[in-house]
Amino acid sequence: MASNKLLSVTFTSLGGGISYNLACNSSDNIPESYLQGGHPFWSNDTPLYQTGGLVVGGSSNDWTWSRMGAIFKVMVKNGYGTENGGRVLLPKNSTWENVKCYLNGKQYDDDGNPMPYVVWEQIGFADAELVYHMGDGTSLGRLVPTTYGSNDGIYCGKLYDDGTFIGDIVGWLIPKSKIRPGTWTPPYSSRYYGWGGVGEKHPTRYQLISPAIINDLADYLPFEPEGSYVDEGGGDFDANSDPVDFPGLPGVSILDTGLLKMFQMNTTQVHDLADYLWSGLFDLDTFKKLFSDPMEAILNLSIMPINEATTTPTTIRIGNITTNVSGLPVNNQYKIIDFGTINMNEFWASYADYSPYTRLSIFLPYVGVQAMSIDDVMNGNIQLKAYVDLLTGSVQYILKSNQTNRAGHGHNSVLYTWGGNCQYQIPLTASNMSQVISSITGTVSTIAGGVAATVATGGLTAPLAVGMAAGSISNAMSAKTHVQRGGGIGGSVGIFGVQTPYLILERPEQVYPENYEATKGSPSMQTRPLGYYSGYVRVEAVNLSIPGATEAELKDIEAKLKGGVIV
Amino acid sequence: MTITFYITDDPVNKIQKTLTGGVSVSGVLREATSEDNPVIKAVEGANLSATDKAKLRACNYAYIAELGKYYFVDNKFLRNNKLIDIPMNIDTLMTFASDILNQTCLIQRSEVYSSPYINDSERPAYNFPMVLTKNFSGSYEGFHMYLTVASSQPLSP
Repeated sequence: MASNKLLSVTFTSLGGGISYNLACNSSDNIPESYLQGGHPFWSNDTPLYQTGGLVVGGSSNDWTWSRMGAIFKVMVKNGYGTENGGRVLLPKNSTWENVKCYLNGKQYDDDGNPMPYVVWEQIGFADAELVYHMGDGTSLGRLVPTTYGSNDGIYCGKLYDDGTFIGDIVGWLIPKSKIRPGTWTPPYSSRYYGWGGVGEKHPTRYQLISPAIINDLADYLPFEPEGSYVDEGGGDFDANSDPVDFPGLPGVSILDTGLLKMFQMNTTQVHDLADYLWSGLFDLDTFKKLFSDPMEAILNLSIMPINEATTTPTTIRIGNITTNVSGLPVNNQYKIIDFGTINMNEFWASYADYSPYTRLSIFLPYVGVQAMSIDDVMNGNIQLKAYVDLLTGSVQYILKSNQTNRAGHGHNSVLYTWGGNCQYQIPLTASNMSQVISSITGTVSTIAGGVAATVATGGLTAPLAVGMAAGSISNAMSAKTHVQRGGGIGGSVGIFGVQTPYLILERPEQVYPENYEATKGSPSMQTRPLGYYSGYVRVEAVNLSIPGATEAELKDIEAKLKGGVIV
Repeated sequence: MTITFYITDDPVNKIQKTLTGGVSVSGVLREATSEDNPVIKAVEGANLSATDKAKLRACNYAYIAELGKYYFVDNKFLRNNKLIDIPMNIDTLMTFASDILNQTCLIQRSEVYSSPYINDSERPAYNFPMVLTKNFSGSYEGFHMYLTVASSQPLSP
């Protein structure tokens, strides 16, 4: 008898492989809250939480009937909680890990006897966060699949026991990019009563998931509420990102030519060199055949924060004169310094972790503090490398971001580059000295000018938002004046700076008033019958159609719905 | 016309309210009155028990069966210690509850079904942000002096 009771959530792997349903027991209903990222089953005596109760039904050529258990196993990383009124209470900042949907089949033979479990398929999910409801409640956050079993893709929809199959599955389970048209392979018939029925070929219960349904699915992707899969805007929906990796070093080096030679020197060696240049040992006549001034052959004496030299000292040859001073020869003009990787994890697991609420900047030695977009890197990791030219001191910072956003889209590419100079030139002549002083003075002027301009104008990214609710997160963060945290710091002043790159994160400190969700709710942006909801609901738009209501009453109802009602 | 007076503790914006303490009073409308904002007069003129009178004095809600509409009790006017006037206004939410719940709406905010990743300009925040620094694990390699010289003796190929 049709009761319009939700029986299953259907996942169909692509490629003509196994098809299966996540379903409840035939006599039970799936609590939709579980599918909505709601409350997982609770186990009080173990840190393992699992959303048991889902059963996968299906079969293959080799099995006449099987019933498969699908269990979301999750582990709370930091903390245990208590159950309170059906809600799981956990400490703040708890996260779920090891979330996996195991499609393990518990088999039954033709006589209905249970057979050993077999692994049919496994869907892996990225670590999921807990979603904190206002007050003290919490629930399992959105699960983003990372692996899809043996086939790259999953279809989904809801199957009801009246034979209807609709696609209003919650969107968080399936990234939009993974939903695509294809062929639905119905399971084989069941010979025993179960959710699949007796001897049915499922001609009515299972239907091809058409592009139209997939189009509907997109309406339920909470992170892409405006989108639809087909036709909107005529775009190709190509969400693939080509990886852009770190570059290699140049294959050509001036040091390879032998025209120039670099040596790493210690203080004693430099002192010995000075003594030699001003001693009678220096054969000036021979030297002058090439240079008018001995200093012309000493191209540069500098300090750099790089350790790049061979370990065996050799005699230094200036021009065509062999000195009695030695140094550690430098054979590689270029060097890469890997500063490592930082994971950019969400703190609030919400919009507040992104711009304009959260801001990110990076301090780079010899460059200063540079602004970054938190949107580029959040929920991923970043790796920073410096490419240094020892001859000139030029340093190029390259930052690579590996990110998958909450819609399942991502990149693994170089996104940022910054240039600077890490060489502090030591003046050897009067003209050298004036040049060095000039460069230092210029740098200081730049710093002073930068600070003055920032104070005078409020900075380029000064207050943006107006008209927001007083005290809101938008106001709290956007009203903050951006302060330039430093000016240019080239090699001459950069040697006094911090020698380790670091990130500067500015996050909002959110307020969690008691019963906030019950009195204001949180953004939903879904289109559904009002009766689908419970608790506080505020309507964005509605075309009321109520027989018998006067115009005044309709206006009154609309105003109340838009002001917020309790269902 | 029969008016049933109730007490409700539910908030005014709750669509389906829980009603208790019903007291039915029958009478006729002797004056023209608005259907959405009626004023019920001479209420205690009806034959009421002491218990019902007490309930009536405590009521804050009403239902008029003939109109099929629910009302908030706005005020109560007394004369000679008798409740004589009760101005009311319609509770459109309760009156049309079943129709309202069937309306398909674009939901802006919800207590239950929401996405934490949609911007929420109403979410409160303290005026002091947290400012954190995260170090990269790597660093430069200490300061070293380098000498670059011209050489008249290029490397042999």
